[in-house]
Parts: sequence; structure tokens; C-alpha cells
Amino acid sequence: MSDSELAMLPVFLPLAGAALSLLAKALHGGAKARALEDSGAFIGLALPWAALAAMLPRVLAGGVSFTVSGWSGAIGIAQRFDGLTWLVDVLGLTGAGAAYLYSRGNGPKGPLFTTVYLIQASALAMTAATADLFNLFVCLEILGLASYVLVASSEKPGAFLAAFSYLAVSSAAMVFFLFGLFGFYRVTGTLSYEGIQAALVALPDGGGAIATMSTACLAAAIAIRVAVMPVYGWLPDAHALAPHAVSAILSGVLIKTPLFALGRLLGYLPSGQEAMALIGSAGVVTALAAVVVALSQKDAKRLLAYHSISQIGYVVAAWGLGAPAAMAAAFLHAFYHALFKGLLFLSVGTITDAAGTRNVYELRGAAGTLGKSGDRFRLVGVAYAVGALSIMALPPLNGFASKNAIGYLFKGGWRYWALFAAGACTVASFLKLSMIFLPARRGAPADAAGVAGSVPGLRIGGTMKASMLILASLCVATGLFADATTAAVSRLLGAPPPAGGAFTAANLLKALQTLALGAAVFGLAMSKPGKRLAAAIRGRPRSFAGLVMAFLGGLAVLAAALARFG
Amino acid sequence: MRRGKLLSAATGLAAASLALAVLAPVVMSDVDWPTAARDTIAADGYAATGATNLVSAIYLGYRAFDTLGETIVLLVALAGSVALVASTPGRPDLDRDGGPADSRGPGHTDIINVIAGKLAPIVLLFGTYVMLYGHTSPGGGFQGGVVLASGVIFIAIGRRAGGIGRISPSITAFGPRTLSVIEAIAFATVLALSFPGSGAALAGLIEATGASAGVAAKGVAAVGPIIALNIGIGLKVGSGVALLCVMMLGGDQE
Amino acid sequence: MIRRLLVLALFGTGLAGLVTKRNLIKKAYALAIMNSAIVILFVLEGAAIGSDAPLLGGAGKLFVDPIPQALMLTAIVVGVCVSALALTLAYRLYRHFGTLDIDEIKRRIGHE
Repeated sequence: MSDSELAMLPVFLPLAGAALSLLAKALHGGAKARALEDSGAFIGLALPWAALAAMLPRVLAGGVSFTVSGWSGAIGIAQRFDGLTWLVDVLGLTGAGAAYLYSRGNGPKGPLFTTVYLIQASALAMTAATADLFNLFVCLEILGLASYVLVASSEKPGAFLAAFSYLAVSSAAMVFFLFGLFGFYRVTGTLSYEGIQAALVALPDGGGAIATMSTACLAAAIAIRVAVMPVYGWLPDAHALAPHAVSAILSGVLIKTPLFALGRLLGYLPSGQEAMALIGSAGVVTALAAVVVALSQKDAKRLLAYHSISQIGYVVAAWGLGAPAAMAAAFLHAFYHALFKGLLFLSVGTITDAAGTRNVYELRGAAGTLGKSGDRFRLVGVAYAVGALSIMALPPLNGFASKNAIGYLFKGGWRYWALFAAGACTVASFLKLSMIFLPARRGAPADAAGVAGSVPGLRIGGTMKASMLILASLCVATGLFADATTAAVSRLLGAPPPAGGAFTAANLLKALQTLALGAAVFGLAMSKPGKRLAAAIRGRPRSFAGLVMAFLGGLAVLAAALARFG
Repeated sequence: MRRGKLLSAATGLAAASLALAVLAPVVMSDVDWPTAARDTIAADGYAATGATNLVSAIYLGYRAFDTLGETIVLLVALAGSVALVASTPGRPDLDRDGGPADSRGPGHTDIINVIAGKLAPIVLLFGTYVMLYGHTSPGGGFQGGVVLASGVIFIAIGRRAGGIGRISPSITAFGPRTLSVIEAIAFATVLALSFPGSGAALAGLIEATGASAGVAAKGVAAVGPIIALNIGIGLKVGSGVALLCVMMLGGDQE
Repeated sequence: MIRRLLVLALFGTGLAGLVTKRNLIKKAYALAIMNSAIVILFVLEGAAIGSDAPLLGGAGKLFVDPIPQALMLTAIVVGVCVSALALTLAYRLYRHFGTLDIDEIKRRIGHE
């Protein structure tokens, strides 16, 4: 098998799995259908690992560039399989595999879900490797449609509206993407990144206003998928109301793959660096603003969803610097976030299902409730603890390593302090969420209220435990061997090996400071005025028109800034 | 009320002007449209793909990978819609004949039932033509598939309760079950044909078969993968769209 | 010139409709209008360099650019898919809430 065919396997294997699963759906149940669906899932989520392993030597040798099926480069679809593609594929497959395992226990189930899920996994690999503008459009549309369907599959009315809003705002953004594509095709006559770059360099004005405005359109349309400020508004509802397994993959993987695809694209465009820097600054603001909103939430899953926005802010901040070392830090945090946020969504989702309430202020005695649902070894509780300690960036877990790596990039600037404050608020917010493990309040009608809304007969089955166990051990392993992981990622991204290790005295001291400050913020947030402020933040008006206007405002600001640089 | 209207008008105006400020330089520019890609395809397109319809040469040849993505988008949207329609609680009950209970309501007359039933074979034939000749004339899998779906819908309408041109659901080949099997197999076919190298392999196979039969199949061989893709996509689109419509007519509850 | 302005006007209409209309079905249509605007723009501009349909046969033809047509074929199908899914979601919301007004639905979800 040639290099270019091998490089397409992470895309085609999940699709082959989806085809099998679709056939299983057509058979309408029965043992044969189940066997088909299972083998589809195996082919789609397990076999790509073998393809990735086979690609590793080629990636280390510098990666491969090719056009699909060997068509002429002028019109065919260019692909690039390099270290970044490989890493983003690893991120996608890890998140997708673990979340799928969980879905086998706690739903959604059925061949249709498996089909759409595998298609999404395939589109993630497609997005990671594409080097063609129109192909990127197609990839983003597949990712989008699969997400809308998966969010709606929870069958909650709120989820339908969340899916509709997400669909409407991101489809509107995709029309802007097409305008951007139109602009580049008009001045360059080609769609491949390399072709566009070469043609723009040859032009006397480098494309002029068309190129600038087109860059803004493309970047803004993709930024909406990443949910960076100000275009994050669709995410909390969609991620909070989706089924838990879907939340895990949406938050863990789906908001990151487009970001790295955007980074690849902007690397070829003349004003790409400026666009990345601007979006990176927005990322810092996102990290801080979103965590404040998260701290004010009372719905456990919505709290987690806002944390996803905040954490992606960290990733975007580092990504915006553009240098390979910064990209390595961004990827590390993206990867670790996929692990610990996936873990948090799955464990908190299990707890809220078992308890029947998602209200952080009411839910108490989670450990006992879990025990009743078949979690005898406190596995879900331990999984939650690992996830929470990771996102709080406490040693020796993985969040500690990646957040410090990002902080190191900004040493001394305002960004450093903004991210530090965001870290403290994260600690506070998870202290608040962890209160669900406090013993049930005496006199509170815990049992009566709890059992009423709980999922009838929720049994925490083997696959659910297995998926949490896998994610938790990966969190611990990548934390303990943080330096080795960082070195490997740096090598794949062509970055110089990092100077110091993760576990330095300065970093440990910083973790202590963050913890202390976080505890103080937690105290403030739980006080009477703090709770009143939280309710005010929660109740702020959020409308669909606001979502679109935020996108348009962001687009206009980006365009104006790029025009000024140009 | 008045204030709300004013506010909404102002929002709309603001949205449109923000967007137009960014888009105007892109749309209004006077840069000449590039000709290089057109010239390349006009010169090499036929030799490379065997299709005289250059649009087909692009979307089923040079950029067939995009078309695979497009097929997937369609699959996800249709399958998602079917699932969402099917899981609606309290959908109106259907009568035992597999037609909607209100099929005798306004707009559902014997005339429609008869004509739909009689038109169906003609529409199916036309759909097949559009699907098969996409490589040489305007048309192709997507367009033909939608026409095919119309044919199936005509059959479904024609066989509604009391319809004179009614075909019994038990003997029709176009029930939801058959449609979803066709859809799955057609999708697998499109997928197999899209994998790098399989198009060339198919062309080689056609050429070898032609040679062993003593026929020079050169031109046919080159365009073979495009025709095969058109058939696969046509069946996929046709069965998918038809499935959604038959479900909406209540055919899943036969 | 006038044709480009019309395309922009069409797009602006769709966008304004998406923002201001509260009815879910009208929003779905607004999206379809926006999508049509970009499709028209591509096909219109791509036709500027020729006068014949891109079908081989006969000599001395000056073809329009076939690439925008092929791309827009994909964009149209994607647009239809988005419309279909949007309308299905609107249908489900209507079946549950008995209204298509997005603000009203939002208000009721907030109360649930």
C-alpha cells in the first residue's frame, strides 16, 4: 500500500465501519445486525490505530503531501499528513473511542447512532489532513451535521433548540466561509493551500483587500466551531443537553480539530499570522471570562460546558503564537483537556443520572447514590477526582504540565496573569462542583427528590467503567510522564525540546498559590452576595439574534484589524 | 410593540451592514476571473476521466473525494431527519393500509392517486436516464437520484388507502425496509469506489474484460468509474430521499 | 455591477431575516436564501470567461469555468441537507411546544 493510500486509512476505516453499521440499521435488529454494528465500531475506532502506527515512521521522516487518488494538483484535492495530522488523529481517536465505549452502557445506542458517530470520527481525520479549501468546507459541514444530529439524539426539547441554534449560526457562518473561498479562488484560481500561497506571492499587492477580507471570513467561520469569544454562545446549551457520551466527544475533540485545521490554513495566508495573534488574544479573554460564567452555574453539565470554553481559551491563546513550541503546548493542553474533560463529562453525567438532579446546589451524597447504582469500588468517584484535579492543574496530573507549559510562553505579560486568574477560578469552580460529594444534608428531602427524576434502573455497567478507567489512567500516565510526552509531541511538531521539566519548584509553588487563591474565590462565590451575583450572571439575557450579531461583530473586528495590518 | 419592531429592524439593518462591509471588497472586485484551471480541464479533462461533461469530470473525477463528503452529509442529514420524525411522540395514527389516516382529506383525491400511480414508472425511467448519462450531459447521480425518489413517492401516493392505482404494500419493492437496504448497499459502493486507486482498478478491470471478449473498451473503461459512481450516488440519494418522504407519509407504520 | 449588487442585496435580505424573524421556519428559509446568494455569485462570476456550457463536442467553444459549477453542486446539496435538518428540528419543537416562535420556546425551556 502506497503512502498516500495508507494516509487515507484513518478517514476510510471509520467510513467502512459506518457503512457496516448502516447495513445493520437496514436489517432492523437481530443478532446479525448487532454483530455487523459491533464489527463496524471495531473497524472504525480500533483499526485506525494500526494505520496510525504504520504512518509514524513516515511522519517522523517529515510527513507526506499528496492529492487524493493522484489527480493533478491544480484541480485535485491536496492532503498533508504530517506530525500535526498524526497528533490530531490520536486526539480524535482517543476521545471518540472512550466516549463510544461509554455510550454502549449509558446510551445513546443503536446502529444509527453508531453510523453517525463513526462518520464524525472519519470527518475528524479528514479535517486534520486536508490542505484544500473546499475540502475543508465539506469536512466542516460533515462535522457540523453529525454534531447537530448527535446533540438532538438526546430527545430533550432543549436539545432540539440547542441543535437548531447551533445549526443556524454555524450554517450562516459557513456561507461566509464560501465567500472567503470565492475571494481566494477569484484572485488565485486554485483551492489548494500551497497553490493559493504561491499565487498570492506572485501578485503585486499580495491579493490586496480581497485576500484580507477573505481571510477574515474563513477565520471567523472556523472560529465559531472552536467556540472562542465572542462566538461561543451556541456551545453551553448544545454540550450541556447532549447525551453524556456525545458531550464528552463534542467538548473533548470537536472544538479542537477545527482549530488545528485553521492553524494549518492560516500558515499559508499572507495575513495569517496577524489573524492568529488576534484570535489568540481573544483566547486569553475567553479563558478568563468563560470560567467566571462557569463559576456561576448551577447545572452541573452546563458548568462543565463553560469550562470547555475556558479551557479552549488556553489552547487558543498558545496556538495564537504560531511558533512550533507554542503549537506543542497548545496541542498538549488540547489533548489533555480531551482526556480530563471527557472523563469529567462521563463521571458527572453518570452521577447526575444516578441522582436524578443536575443542580449543583442541591445534589449531595453522590458517593452513596453511585453505590446504589452498582459502583461498588467508588470508581466513578475516583474518576471524577482524577478529572477534577487534572483540570485544576494540580501535580502530578496532566493539566499541571500543560497549563504550566502555556503559562511559560506568556511569562511576564498581561496574558500570564489573566491565565493565572482563570486557573484560580477553575479551582474555585471545581471545589464548588465537588460539593456534590458532601454527605446529604440532614432533613433535606434528598431521597424523595433524588429518586423521582433519576434514570430508572441506571446500572453502571462494565463498558462505562472501562471507558472512565481508560481516561483516568491516561490522565495519570500523561501527568506522571509529562516530560516524555512533551518531548514526543515537540519532536512531532518540529519544535525544539523544552528546556525544563514540568515538576520544578517554581511550578509547584504556583500550583499552591493557585489553590489558595481558588479556595478564597470559592469562599466568595458561596457567600450570599456571591450567590446573588452568580444568579445575575446566569440570568443574563441570551438570544439567538445575539449569537449571530456576536459572530458578525467578531468578523468585522477581525476584518478591520487585518485591514489595518495590511 | 412598535418599539420592538423598530429594534428588530435596527438589528437587521446592523447585521446586514456589518456583513456587507466585509463582503463588498470580495464581491465587488474587478479582478479578472482566472482561466488557468478551466483551460487545464478543457485540454486534459476528457483524456483523464473519459467524461465529456466537464462538471462531471470534476466532481466525480478530480474532486470525487469532495463528492464522497457530500454523499455523507446527505446520509447524515437524511438519517437524522428520519430518526427525528420517527421518534416524534404522538404522531397521527395511520390506517392499516399503510397510508395516512387523513389521506381522504382535502387535496387527496382519486385523480391524484391514479395519476401518481400511472406516472411513477415514467418518472423512474427518466430518473434512471438522468443518472446514467451524467458523464456526457447535464445530470448525474444527485439529480437522477432525486428524480428516482419522486418516482418512489408517486408509487407511495398511488398506493394510499382507496387509491385505484394502488399496489399492495406486501408486494411492492419500495417499502421502507427495501429502501434502507438499497441505501446501505449503495453507500458501501460509493465508498469503495472513492478509495484511492479503486477507480483505476475498475477501469483496468473493464478494459481487461473487454479485451478478453475481443472488444476495444478504451473509452468505456476510462469513464467506467464515473458511471459506476453516478449509479451508486443515484441509488443512495434516491433511496435516502424516498425513505424520508415515505416515512413522512407514514409508510413506516405499515 | 448591478448583478453583483443584487447578489449582495439577496444575501443581506437572508441575513437580516435570520436575525430578525422569530419563526423557526422563516429562519430556515433565511439560511436557504443566504446559501442561494453565494451559489448565484459563484455561477455568475464563473460564467464571465466563456459563453458555452462545459460539455465537450464541436470545435471553437469557449467554455465557462466548470469548477465553480462543480463546487456549487456540492454546496447546493449541503444547503438542502441543512434545510432538511433545520425543518425537522423545527417540526419536533413545534410538536412539543405548539409554537414556532424561538423566543417563546426559549422562555418555556427556561421554565421547565
